[in-house]
Amino acid sequence: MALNWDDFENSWSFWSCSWDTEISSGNTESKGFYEAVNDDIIDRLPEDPFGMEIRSTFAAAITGWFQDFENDLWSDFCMFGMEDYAEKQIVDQQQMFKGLNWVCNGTMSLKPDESISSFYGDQSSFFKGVNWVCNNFEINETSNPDFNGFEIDNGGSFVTNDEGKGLMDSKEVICNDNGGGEPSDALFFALGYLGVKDLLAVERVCRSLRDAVRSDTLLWRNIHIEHSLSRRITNDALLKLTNRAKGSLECLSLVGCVKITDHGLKCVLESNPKLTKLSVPECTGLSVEGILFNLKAFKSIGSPGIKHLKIGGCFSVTEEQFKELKFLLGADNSIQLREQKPQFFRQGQLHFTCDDDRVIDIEICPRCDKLKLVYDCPSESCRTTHHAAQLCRACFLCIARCFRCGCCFKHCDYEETFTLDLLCFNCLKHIFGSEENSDVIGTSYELYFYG
Amino acid sequence: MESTSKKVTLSSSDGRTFEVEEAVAFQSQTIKHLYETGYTGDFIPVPNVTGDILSMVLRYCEKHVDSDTAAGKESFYDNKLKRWDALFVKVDQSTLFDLILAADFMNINSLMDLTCKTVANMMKGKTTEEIRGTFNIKNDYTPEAEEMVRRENQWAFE
Repeated sequence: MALNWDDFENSWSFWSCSWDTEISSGNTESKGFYEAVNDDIIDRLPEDPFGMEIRSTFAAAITGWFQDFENDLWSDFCMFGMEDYAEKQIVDQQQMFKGLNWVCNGTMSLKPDESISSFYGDQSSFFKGVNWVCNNFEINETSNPDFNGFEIDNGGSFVTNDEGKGLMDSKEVICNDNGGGEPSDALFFALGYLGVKDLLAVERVCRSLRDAVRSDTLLWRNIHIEHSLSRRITNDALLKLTNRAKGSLECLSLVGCVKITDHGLKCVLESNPKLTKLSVPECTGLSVEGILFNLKAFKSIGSPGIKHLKIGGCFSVTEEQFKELKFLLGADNSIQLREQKPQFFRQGQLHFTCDDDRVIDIEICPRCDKLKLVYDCPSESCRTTHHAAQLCRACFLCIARCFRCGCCFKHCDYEETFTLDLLCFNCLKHIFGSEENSDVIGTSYELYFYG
Repeated sequence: MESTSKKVTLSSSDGRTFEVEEAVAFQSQTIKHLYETGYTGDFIPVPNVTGDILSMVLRYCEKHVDSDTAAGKESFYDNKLKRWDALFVKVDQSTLFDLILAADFMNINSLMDLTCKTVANMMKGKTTEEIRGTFNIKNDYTPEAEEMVRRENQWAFE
């Protein structure tokens, strides 16, 4: 390990940064680590009895974190004039600290007081401290010669998130001393392509964006509460969001919104008479009775009513309830007989796609006669004849399916993944194939930037 | 593509002219509409769009006309076109914004879609601070107003 630390110091001084505080705090932490065990019986044991090199394990873990997005970032770091160091690295072939090294190099200058406070403040371990240093950095030297076309003013503290996504676009950041200006008109056109969470982040940016986000009812016509929000959204929050559509809401999908209750749904329906598509799978705060009651009430106020409903496989629906639901949705038998778009099993695909015209997602499984999500088989051999396709229609419990492509395992082998999902060999090949591809692309990028 | 296809001339805001085939220019609904309503001038002025941006837009239109006609919908071409598109939008931010405004003015849906998606991807998953930084936007909230907005959708960021 000593060897690696030396390397570190070299690279730090290479960039003449204020690293002394970092190193000393790192040492303090490590001392603390050993002091803590001094009174213990472990004290008599060798420091590293199993040769696990605890520090290098840390390093390996950190390196592992960064390796994922490392390749993407090389381009940006080359903007900083890092080619020399990159070459040096490739010569060294020190994979272990590779990821960490460049991140530290990206840290052009740190405000020592802040880094110290974070070290002794809430961050308890050296490990986390490093993480913090890597993820939050401030660049306050606009005259740095390495920063070609990259200037951040003092006010522009540039904080990246855990995945370092902020870094990717850092080459595009050009802040003036006045701290930026009005958003470009073009930016407003892009708002339509954002999800709810991103829209909420955008409206905090400045007043004109806030007004645009809030007043444009088109942005709120289809509301899909994504997974990052679904556990947190409450009745009130949902009502406020849906009210932004000012009554024009047409499609609402709440996947796994556990805090939404029947009463909350009622309020939303009351203020959005144009709603026709509703998706509530995994919303455990709702009940079938409540949904039925709400749909009835919704229809009675004179709106066209919900035409498409997704409730997923979590509710236990009785046959009477199913009939009633179908009646409320206006699904008479003629529609039921019409050829429906096949529904394939895909992990995590529960919300509406725009062209989905299915009235209700559950139906009676041909095999077990229970009300379940019934899937078709995408496999070619099962779809050749109508008869075969009908045979391979069943709920997930009756026919096991690949979680990626949704095919059955009659004609191909499968593998059980670590998370107990089943994966067919075709998909397995595909996944590995794409990984290899991305490796190839990664290497070529690296070669390109090194050379 | 027929060899006898008609040519039209477009002129950018800074006076540069571009001669392209009709099919290429007609990717723009604005220009198509102009001709359909009986426009007979020698060239079509495209104000608001500079020569540099217009040449990029036309390059895009040419590419998409080619692949629309030549065995258009085959997935091989489709993939190739997607890759071409991805490279096409690898430009700096101000060019990208100009492309959006040009696509909006000339009413080219696919280009609008492509460029807006690119910008949206630059915003996705970012915090407010990061968006301000990425697009160089000034925070013009008063502290009270900012606090109000923040509190209102605090639930989404906890």
